[in-house]
Amino acid sequence: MSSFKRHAMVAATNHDEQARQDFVTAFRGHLSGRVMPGAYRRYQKFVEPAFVKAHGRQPADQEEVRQWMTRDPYYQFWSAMQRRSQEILWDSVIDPTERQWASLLAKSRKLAGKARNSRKRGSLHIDPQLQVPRYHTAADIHLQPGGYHTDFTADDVAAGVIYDQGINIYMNGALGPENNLTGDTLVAYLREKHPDFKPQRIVDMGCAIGNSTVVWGRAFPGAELHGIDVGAPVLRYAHARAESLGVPVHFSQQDAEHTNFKTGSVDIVLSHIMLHETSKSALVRIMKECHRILRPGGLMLHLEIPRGRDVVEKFMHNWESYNNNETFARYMTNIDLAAEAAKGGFAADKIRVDEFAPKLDVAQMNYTEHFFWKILAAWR
Amino acid sequence: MQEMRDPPQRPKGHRPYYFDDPAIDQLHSAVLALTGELAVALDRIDSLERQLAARGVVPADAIDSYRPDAAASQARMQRYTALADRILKPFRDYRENLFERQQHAHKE
Repeated sequence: MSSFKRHAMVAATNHDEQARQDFVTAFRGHLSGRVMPGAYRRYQKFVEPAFVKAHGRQPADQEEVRQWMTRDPYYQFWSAMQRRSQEILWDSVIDPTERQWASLLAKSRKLAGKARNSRKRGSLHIDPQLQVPRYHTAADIHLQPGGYHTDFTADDVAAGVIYDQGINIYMNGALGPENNLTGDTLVAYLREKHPDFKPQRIVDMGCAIGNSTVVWGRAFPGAELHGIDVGAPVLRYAHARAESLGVPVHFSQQDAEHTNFKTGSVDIVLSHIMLHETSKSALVRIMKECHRILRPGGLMLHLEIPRGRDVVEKFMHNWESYNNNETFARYMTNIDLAAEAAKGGFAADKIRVDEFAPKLDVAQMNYTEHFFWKILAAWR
Repeated sequence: MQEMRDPPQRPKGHRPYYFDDPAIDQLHSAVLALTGELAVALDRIDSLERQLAARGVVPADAIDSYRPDAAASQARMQRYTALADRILKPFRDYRENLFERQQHAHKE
């Protein structure tokens, strides 16, 4: 059913575990394809007319839509099911991970050991002193228990195992066999807009399990490739995963707000759907840090999720924020990414924000029938 | 043996409820989980039937064309009743309790 590639670090599933994952995949596809679009119809046919009748005008913003839509019984039923599907999703991935926890740990240690003994391979640096930002510790993002950052045993990799399989189910397979869609999108953007740009030193911020990082490694095999994240277990997993896939990446536990890369030392700095999981103040500091580490003529590229074109789409995109622990995401609706980049030090005429539509089926979109990635690009 | 801490059963953060009565949310959640488990059970039966057919133990159409005899039907009927009793016990308890309370109220 799923095209997810079963590389060495994936938790194998037995009969019933696979059935649970297949069910939740199909169930989420049903919700996105059949149930979610009805929320838009409810809005058009009932909620908006009722609002107009009461106020004599259209809703001014997504917050006014929210006050009315959250009282609509159709929306309530869809929300309850959508929330539950996310909880069941994690359960379906956590079970096989816990069952094979010890062997997954052993595998990751073996792969890391091989990497240490070879100059052709990648590396891993964990910083036990690193302060995990509050926007990770206050609530578990996407409802994954323990988030990206919690170790439940020494040298833990479970958060990565769970996340890798979990996000594939989350997007109904749309992320591709190696969860490569986000990386593919940014690489395609670079090749289309700047075909001659050949980065020698690449930094991928908030890389988590390195699914996008590996895409960059394959696209630019000669480049020195770094992946940073605040979560230790996802980085250990990312390292083992990249080694098993044969892509050398240097992973290190670092905060994108202040890294250890030398000033002006990087050709291209990236992030893939990371910015909306940070905070207002972090966002500016990340822009400043990108500006600092880039060499003159270097490029910053951030891929972001859509935030909607009208008030009801904006409201629907914020579902994740209120119901799936993407606490900061709701503020991203009104944030001008270009202005944030300018605050970070980039010249206004060197910044652009583009939209890029992937080929997705409505069953893979969760909250919208119109999906456009946002891409923030800025030259140093 | 390496020490492993039990991961939490719930994610950290506020759990929203969607209906006026949280009991509806809980019931809704349980029904969806039950649907998932039913899918798993159905898959298991499907796997079993396919394995049996592939090995020539039970031909592919044998289940669909099977009709229980009187004894088997009788046993099934008893099983349905017992199953309904077990699963619907909370509803029955509530109904009976309601009846008792009303009787009590009438006496006063």
